[in-house]
Amino acid sequence: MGTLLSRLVFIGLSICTFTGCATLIFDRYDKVDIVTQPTGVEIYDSEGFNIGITPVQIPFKRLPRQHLTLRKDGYVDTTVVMSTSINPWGTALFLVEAKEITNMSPSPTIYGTFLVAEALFIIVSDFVLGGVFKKNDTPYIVRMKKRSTSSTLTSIDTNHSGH
Amino acid sequence: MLAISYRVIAVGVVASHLMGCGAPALTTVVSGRYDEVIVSTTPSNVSIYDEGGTRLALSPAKLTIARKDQPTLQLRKDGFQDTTIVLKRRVNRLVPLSIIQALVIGGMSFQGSPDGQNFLPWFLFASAINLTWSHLPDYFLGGAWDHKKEIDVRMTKETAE
Repeated sequence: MGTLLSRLVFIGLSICTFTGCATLIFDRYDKVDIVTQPTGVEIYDSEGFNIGITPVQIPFKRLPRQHLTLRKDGYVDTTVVMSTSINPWGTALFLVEAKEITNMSPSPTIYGTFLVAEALFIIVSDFVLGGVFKKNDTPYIVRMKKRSTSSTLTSIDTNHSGH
Repeated sequence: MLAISYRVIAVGVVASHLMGCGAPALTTVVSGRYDEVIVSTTPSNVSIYDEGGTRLALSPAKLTIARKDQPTLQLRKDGFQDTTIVLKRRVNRLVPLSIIQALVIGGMSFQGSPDGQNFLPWFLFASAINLTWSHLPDYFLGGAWDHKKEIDVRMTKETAE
């Protein structure tokens, strides 16, 4: 009885602690600060919608990468790629979840199948919905280039602080 | 032995749900805590301000707002009357799924009642607790809410006095 109780507590607590929490804890969206010099730059997404005016903090989906265009009269249009990297905390949760699944030995009944299906769903959802990824922690700082006589498009891929 | 193992896992899962971590706030996990709303205007290039007077965007705009919020926005353009709109929230269409999931898990959590006869009261008890702990967080975290995806506003011209 003692062994059963301890196994019960262990499994309960371990599943409680680690199962499927990455996306719930970290959310599908990650807030990113975008700062420009000068301020008042309009930010457009790939569909052409204005999503903000700098300086601004915008929640972006962790997946996929977003391509933004920054525009201001008198300055060259600038493209910024909002890169996505691995969220170490989310990945740690994801790996422990995977370990939990390999340790599961449910009964071959319909209930056991349900349990495994649900556990797998939770793990996959963390990966698909983006809980194991993150955007840059540091703000994107973009210095806009003044437009000369001929207009050109500047492209910047900012992996870190986005200068 | 299999039955005991299964029960251990089943109780473990329900324990995780009761403590709010197994698959709680399903709609928040799936939908996220933010919502994207497209605000279009006729004419375009209308400035959109929040309640604090901060200029948020220029229409047509895609605003990312917290699902539980109902922001009031002011639309301003020279030559047109200022217009105020409220992005009202509504119940997320995924909420029924979250409720069904909570009931199913609640039903699975107890393979029988202690007296081995009256399963229904235990099913209702487990489902109700599971529903409370796995579904209620959606309302606080925001996943239970949704906004109209596209709002089209026709600005009224200012009349000359």
